[in-house]
Parts: sequence; structure tokens; C-alpha cells
Amino acid sequence: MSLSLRIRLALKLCWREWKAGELTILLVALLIAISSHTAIGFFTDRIEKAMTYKAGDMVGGDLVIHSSRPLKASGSESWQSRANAAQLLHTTVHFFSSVVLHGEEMLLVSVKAVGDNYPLKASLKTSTSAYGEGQTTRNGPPTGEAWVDARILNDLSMEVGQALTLGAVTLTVSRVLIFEPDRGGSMYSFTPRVMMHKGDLARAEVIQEGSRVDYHTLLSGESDAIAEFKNWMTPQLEPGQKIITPGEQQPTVGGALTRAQRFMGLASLIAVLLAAVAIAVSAKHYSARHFDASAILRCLGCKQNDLMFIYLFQMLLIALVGSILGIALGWSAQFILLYLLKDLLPEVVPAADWHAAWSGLGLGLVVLLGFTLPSVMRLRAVSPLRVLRKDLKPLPLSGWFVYGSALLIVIALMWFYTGSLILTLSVLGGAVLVFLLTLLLIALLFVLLEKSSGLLSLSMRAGLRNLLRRKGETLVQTLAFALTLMAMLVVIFIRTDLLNNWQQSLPDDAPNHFVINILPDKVPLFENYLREQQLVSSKIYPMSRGRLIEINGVPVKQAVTKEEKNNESLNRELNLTWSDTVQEENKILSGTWWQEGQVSDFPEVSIESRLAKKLGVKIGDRLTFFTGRQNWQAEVTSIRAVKWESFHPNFYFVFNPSSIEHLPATYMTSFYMAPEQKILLKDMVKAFPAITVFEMDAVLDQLKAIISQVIVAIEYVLLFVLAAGLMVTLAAVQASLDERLQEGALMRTLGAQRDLIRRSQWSEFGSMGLIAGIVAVLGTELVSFLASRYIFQADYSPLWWAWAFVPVAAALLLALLGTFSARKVLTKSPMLVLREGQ
Amino acid sequence: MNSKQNNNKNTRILEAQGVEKVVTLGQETIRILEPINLAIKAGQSLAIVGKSGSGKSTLLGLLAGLDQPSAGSIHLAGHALTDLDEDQRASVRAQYVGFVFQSFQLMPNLTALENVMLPLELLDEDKPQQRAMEMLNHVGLSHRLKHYPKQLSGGEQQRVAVARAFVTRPALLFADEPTGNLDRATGSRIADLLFQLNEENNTTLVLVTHDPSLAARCELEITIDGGRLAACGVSETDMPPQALGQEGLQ
Repeated sequence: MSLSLRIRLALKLCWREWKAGELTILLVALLIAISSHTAIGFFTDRIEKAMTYKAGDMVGGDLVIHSSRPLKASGSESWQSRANAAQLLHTTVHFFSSVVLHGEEMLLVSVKAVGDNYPLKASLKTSTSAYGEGQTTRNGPPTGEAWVDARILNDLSMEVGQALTLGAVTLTVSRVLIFEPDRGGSMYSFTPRVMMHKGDLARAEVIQEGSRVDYHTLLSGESDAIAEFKNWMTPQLEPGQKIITPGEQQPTVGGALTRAQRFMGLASLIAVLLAAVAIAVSAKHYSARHFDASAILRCLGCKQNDLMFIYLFQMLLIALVGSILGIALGWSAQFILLYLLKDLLPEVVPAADWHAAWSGLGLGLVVLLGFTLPSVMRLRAVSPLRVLRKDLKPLPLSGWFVYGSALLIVIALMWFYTGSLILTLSVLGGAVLVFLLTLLLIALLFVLLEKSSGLLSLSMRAGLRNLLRRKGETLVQTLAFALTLMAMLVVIFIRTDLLNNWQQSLPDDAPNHFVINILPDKVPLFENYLREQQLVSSKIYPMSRGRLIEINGVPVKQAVTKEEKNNESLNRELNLTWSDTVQEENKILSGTWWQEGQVSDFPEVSIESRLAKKLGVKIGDRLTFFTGRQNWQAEVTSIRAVKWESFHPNFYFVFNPSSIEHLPATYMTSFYMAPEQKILLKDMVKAFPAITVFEMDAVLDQLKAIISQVIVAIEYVLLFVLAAGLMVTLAAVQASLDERLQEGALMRTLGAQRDLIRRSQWSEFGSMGLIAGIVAVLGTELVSFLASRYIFQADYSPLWWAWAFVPVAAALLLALLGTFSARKVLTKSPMLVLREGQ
Repeated sequence: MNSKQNNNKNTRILEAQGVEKVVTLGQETIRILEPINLAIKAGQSLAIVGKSGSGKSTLLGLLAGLDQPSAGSIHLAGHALTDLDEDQRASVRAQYVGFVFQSFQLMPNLTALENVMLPLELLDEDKPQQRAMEMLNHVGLSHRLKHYPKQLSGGEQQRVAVARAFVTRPALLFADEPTGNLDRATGSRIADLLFQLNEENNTTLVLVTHDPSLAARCELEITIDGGRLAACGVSETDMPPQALGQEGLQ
């Protein structure tokens, strides 16, 4: 057969199949898989681009040194003279949190104090009014002025030209900040920006010794000179200092967003796999329906390869059409995702490139061809003799081949999604276990149903018989639907239940404000102030910054396991404190706490239990810390369990007072302030200009808002999963439709009324949905129990609402879908069915 | 007349020698056809009759090259079917053979016209649509061109099948119970059509039937019983017997 004839015939047959509705499910299932994949792909791509956009500009220079202390002269040569000699431009930017006031209003802000030659690279964009048109400037605010985020004007009910107070200094707000090149990772910070000139810092009196300030030293110049400077500087870095060069910095995306992206990726994978199941079921049915046509074609002289070409061409066509439509749909769907997450994203999100589209196309081909090929290959093997003997079916392909190739494709897909083979195999192992357990449970419930069928009416019994007769297919459908529901329930439950649980676990008067940077000489005054204002507070703790560098004399990064090398606690300065007594709500798990007032020969330290476990630290181990300019050791004498979510001051390391009280420190505490007392904050900040107050209630509300936004986005993605899950049912109903039509026609011929058949269909699909619902809620309960117990350490409470609602809703949904897709059984004339079935 | 037609009345268009069919079901070996020899010349018509399950459809399948015999050889239009693989046999079928089946076997998703065009297209012949329309017109279905099989009555479907079978003017036409699913009157019209076209195109006709009147219209008739050639006879026509028989009569 010539190629053009093959193509013409394939196109013609494909068009006919499409018109007859034979290809709809294949196409729609593919559409769901590809649109969910590309929507997530486009979305992730745009977010990543937004993160890495102008990496150099975002870092703010060709080289940046982050430090928690001002960079000091080192050795015989200061870094400034070295930089000047290399003709590098440089400037140091100070970052710290503080509170600004305007009239009666106050606000926690993130202050950035810049010098005259800031910014070194790129430009700032500012305007003269909130949300006004942007102008580009190559310098920061002059002394006496402040440039602020538009949000500050709103929050403080002020306008450009008015003054705000920061500590002891009053600054005129002269411009609104639209874009800072080096804002980078803080894009998602909760606190709005105030940019001021460094020259005003001393007058503001907000930075004292021990205050938490981050110093970013920006350098810019010829690349050789930068590289040389970097080589010179690197060995001189002290703990708490690091060099960043553009492109090296991992864009820091908000944790919620990263997790959401991961979750969406996983949800999309589930959608793809479920769609693949629907495709495989549909392809098997397609193949079975084409045994006759293949036999006729063979009889009329078609060769095996002609047949293979015709069918593969059709599949390829569906793959292409499905993928292209899926890509278009995915492209549109990402806008909804961006909209749902708009508050978390930067204002300008660059457009996505076509990478996701290409991978969508590739995925479409792999999924469709991969999952239909075994069925199509059977068509190739149809004997032409089938025209004479209808019972002659092509030999089924080896189960090993079919399931083996499906498994390989699944592994490849998961690998593609997770980017890690080990993760893929472990997830797959877990998934197989979940599958088997769920399958077992479903099978068990079916047995129960079967046993109790004697109690049911005729129509319900007939429905159940239908269900149980197609046991294999029924199990797969129920499994797919149950897992889909479970995924959705777990997400919903995470939002409502655990958030509520967590909130309930906090007493009403739990501290909702943290205050840090209380200067040592102001501690008694501050305590007095709290008492006068009748504010319930935690104990006041000293706080000094230091770094853990060795465990038993071994550098800490060598001493810990590979997984813990990047533990956050090893990569930043920690807040160290000392105390005579164990903190509120802390529990000593092992070792002993020192006696009050006890002076020990060797410094003693108590370590938080989870960190101890991660670092492999035991009682008696000696830890080396670096604070200020010296290293010193302490022996671990106790391990504590800490309830971090109590909102009391808590620390990884607590020392015996005699060990470290000589270190420079500021003090911190937390207190409860009712909403109506908020007005007091302003007085407090006026009275103690150096302190920084963190309004945790606002942060908590913001956190909740972010979490619910992320969850809405995830739920949106789960709609794809639900659609894919329902496609499995549709595909299965379609696959059994011929048989159902025959049975329905026979029953109607024998006098069964349509109502009886309708009721039996309702009971068939309804019980499937019911069982899927029960299994889904059971699974969710298990996840909820484990999560409450081990992750959130909250009390577990059964999901009564889910029990009351989900199984019934699932039964209704499946019954509606099933009876709708099998409606022909009721509407088609029995005579026509029996005649066609001959 | 089509170039593929073999007009020489003395040419053996189909010849089977020692053809037998044995199938193994688990441990059991079932002999469906005992060794059979037969030969038929171009333009003749042969009826294969016998009870249900006697093996007559099996014989038809083997003669048409739809299946391979367990032993023996079959030559169709000079091609040794038994030496060809499935694809080569498909080529031979496309070139020389037409089929009409009891259950019509039309492509359900193609219209009447497209069903008839299909074999022409498979052979890549010119003007398939025009020729198919002519053929459908010939069988009295010019008003049903755009109808799908399920929109046609049984008799109409079988007429489409006959049109499809004859449109390529095959050298040989195999028919398996062509009137089996039809009422007497419709069956009779289909039989008329078959013999008329057989006459017009000088097509060799091999048909399996239960219907004695249909068998009687064939020049030759063989009876299969329990896989054996039970009887061979000549119909009322004055054609000499073509040496049919189990013993390889020539």
C-alpha cells in the first residue's frame, strides 16, 4: 500500500472514529494530562524566571559580601584599600528591622541604609506618588529623606512629602520605591521597605552594639579584578560572612511557594498517571472494537504493517492534536494560577518560554503512544480468518510486556518530574504499597457488599452483580477515584484542620509580640514598663550571636551526615542565651540542668532535642562556638524538648550563665497584647527607640492568608487530578458499554422496565463511589493522624464532617457520571441493539 | 474486462492438493479437515455444502488464503499460497480475491460508498469513487451511498458487500453463506446478483451454503461431512466434472 494511501485511509478512518465518538475519551484524557503538565510547567518557568531575572542586578553588584558584622580590616591590608587598588567601586548597605511612626500610626519595616554610590549596578525605579509612573534614578535618597514602599503610605495613612519617625530621627518621605535591583530574595518578605541614607543612621540611634544588622558590601568592576579580589577575600571570610556572585546565588523563593510548586508537580504527575490509566483502558477498548475492522482490512489485502501504520498514525494524530490543545489549555490555565497567587508574586513576572510546551508535546507522545501501543500491537496480529470465525481473537500480549512497559514509562515520567531516580524509586515503592493496601481494602469492602446483597432489592442486586462481575475493572476504577478523592481531602484537611488545631493549641493569652534588641542597661526599665502597662510577658533573655563550628573538635560540616550539611542552623549565626532555669514549656529529655548560681569549670550547654538528633550530638559531647572574635568550647549537659510554636522565646542552645555572660548581648522577650491595646506599641517604641517589635499576630494572619492562597492554587491543580480520575471511570464505562447495551436490551426485551435498569445502574455506580469515598476518608484519617502526631504535634481529631459528607457525595458523583455515560442503555431501542450486536 | 481476470476457461484458477487442517487443543489433537484435493477452472462456480461444523468454512478460509493448512498445498491464480507469508497472501487476496460473508462484514465507520471504494483504494486504482458509485448503482443502491451500515437493512448491507466484492473484478469470489442471514426473497435476490455478476465478470465463484437451491445454481458441488469430502457432483449444467475428490481424481 502506498504511503499516501496509508495516510489517506488513516485520516479517513480517524475522522470517522472521531465522529462516532470512539476517540473522545482518549483525546480528553490526554488533554487533561497535557494541560495540567504544561500549566504547571509554564507557571514554574515564569516563577523561576522572575527569580533569576537579571541575576546580577538582583545581587546588586558583580560581587557581594554578606556579613552579620561590619567588614573589618584584615591582616596588613584592609579590603577597602585592596578594592580601591583594583579600581573596584564599592559601597556597603545596612539592613535591619525597625518600626517607623507617622502620627498615631506605626509599622514594622525593613530598613535599608545606603551610601552615596548606591546602587552600583542597574537603577532604582521610584515615583513621586503611590502607584505613580516610575522614574529611573542612579542613586538612593539623600540624608534627611526616606524612600518607601507604597504599602507604607497606605498602612501609615500618609502621603509623599510628609515625615516619618525612625528611632530618634525624622525623615521626609520624598519618593515611592517601585523597584530595587538588589531586593532579590526579600521579594517575599512580609515587611515593607524604608530606604534611607547611611548618614542618618547615627542620629536615629537604632543600631547599638549587639543589634541585628545585615551588611551587604557590594563591589563592581572589571571581571578579572573581581575574580582576583574574590580569591583574595575568600580565605579571609569569617563565620557569618559569605561571598555572592551573580548566578551563584540560589534564588530564594518563599518556602510556601517552593512547596506549592513541588506539590503541584506531584499533583500534575498524579493527573498524568490517572489520565494514562484512562488512556490505557480506552485504548484496550478501542483495540477490541477494531478486531473486526482489522480482519476485514486484512481480508481485503491490507498487510500487517499497513494496519500498524494506519492505527499508529491515528494515535500519533490524537497525540499531536491532544498535546497541542492541551498546551493551549495549559497556557491559559497558568494565568489562573498566577492570578490565584498574585499576592505572593513579584509585580512583573516574565513570560514563559516554550520549554513547557515542548515537554508537553513530548509527554503527549510518550503517554499516548506508550499506553496505547500494546493495544495497537494486538490489532496488527488480528487474523483475517476472523471474518469467518468471530471467536478468533488475537493472542493477548505477554502481561510482562504490557505491565513492564507501562511501569518503565511510569518510572521515566516520575524521574522526569522529580529529577531524582532514588526519589522516584522510593516514591514508587511507597505508591505501590499504598496501591496494594487500598486495593486490598476496596476488595474487602466489595466482599462485604457481596455478602450483604441478599438484603437488597432486585434492582440494587442487579447493579451489584454488574459491579462484581467486572471485578478487575471495578477495582481499578474505584482505586483511581479513591486516590483522587484522598489527595483532595488531604489538602483540604491540611488547610482547615491542622491550622485550626494549631491555633487552638495556643492559649488566648499566648504571646503575640516579640521584642528584640533591648539594650542591657534598659532591661530593668523595660520590665517596669511592661508591668506598668499590665502586659503579660515571658522572661527576658539575653541574646548573643554565635556560630557552631566544631563537634568534639571536628569541623561541624565533617562531623554531620551528608543530608545535614545544609542544615540551616549550621549556615547562619545562632541566637545563644544563658539562663539559670529551664524555660517555660521546655522539658529536659536527658542529662541534667545546672544548679542555679552554679559556677562550673567548663562551660555547659543544653541543646534542643531535634537539632541534637540531626547533628548526632550526645550528652558529654564538646561543641565549639565562635562569637565575636574568639572560639570557645562547651560541654553538652542536657537535651531539651522545645515547643517552638508556644511563641515564648526559645533557643537551640542555652548556656550556664557563668559560661558566656561576659559576651556582648542584647535582650529579648515576648508578650501578649490584645488588639485594643495596640496603641501602646507606639509609646513603647518611643520610650525604647532601639527595640524591634515583631507583631506576630499580623505575621500569623499573613501566613494564614498565604497558606490559604497556596492551597487554593493547589486545589485548582487538583481539579485536573479529579478530572483525570473521572476520565478513568468514563473510559471504563465506555469500554463496557457494548456489553451493557446488550444486557440492557435483553433485560428490556424480557420485560424489565427502564426504571429497574436505571436503579440498578445507580446502585452499581453509587456503590463504587461509596466505597471509593469510604476508602478515601479512611486514608485521609490515617494521614491526618500521622501528620497530627508526628509533624504538627497537635491533638488528632477524627474528620466527622468528611465521614458525613464525602462517601455520599462520591456515590452521587459517580452515579451521575456513570448513568450519564451509560444513558444509551436506557435510550437506545432494544431491537436496534440486538440487531447491531448480531 | 479486467486485466487480472483469467479468461482462459482451461486455466486452473484454484487448486488444492492434500489440504488438511489439524488443531491442537491442550493435549487433544482435532482433525478438522481430512486431506482434500480439488481444482477449479476460471469462471466456474463451486458450492461447498455440509452440516454445521462439518469444516466447510474452514476449507473456504484455507482456499482463500485466510488461514494456512496443516499439510498440503494450495495454488491460487498461480500463486502457491502455502509458500507465502501472511503479508504476501494479503497481496494475492487484494489482487485476485473478493469476499461476501454471512454477517456482511462491512466497515462500520465507513459509508456504503466508502466501503465499496476501499478495495479499489487498497489497490491504488483510478477513479475509485466513480467506479464504486457505478457498482452500487448496479446493485440498486444508488440512493444509499452516504448511509452507514447500521442505517441499512440486512439485504442492503449484503448488496453493499457484494458490490465491494465485485468492484475490483476479482478472478475469484469466495462467499460464506451469503444468504444465511437473509429472508428467502432477499436471499434469492442476492443470489441472483451474485450469479449475474459472476456471469458478467467471468468471476470464479466458490461459495459455502446450507441452501440447496443456491448450491444447485453452481456448476460444481462438493459435500463436506466430518472434515471429509463426502460427495462431489455436477449440477444440472453440462459442465464436465473438474475431477474433484479425495483421491486426487483428475
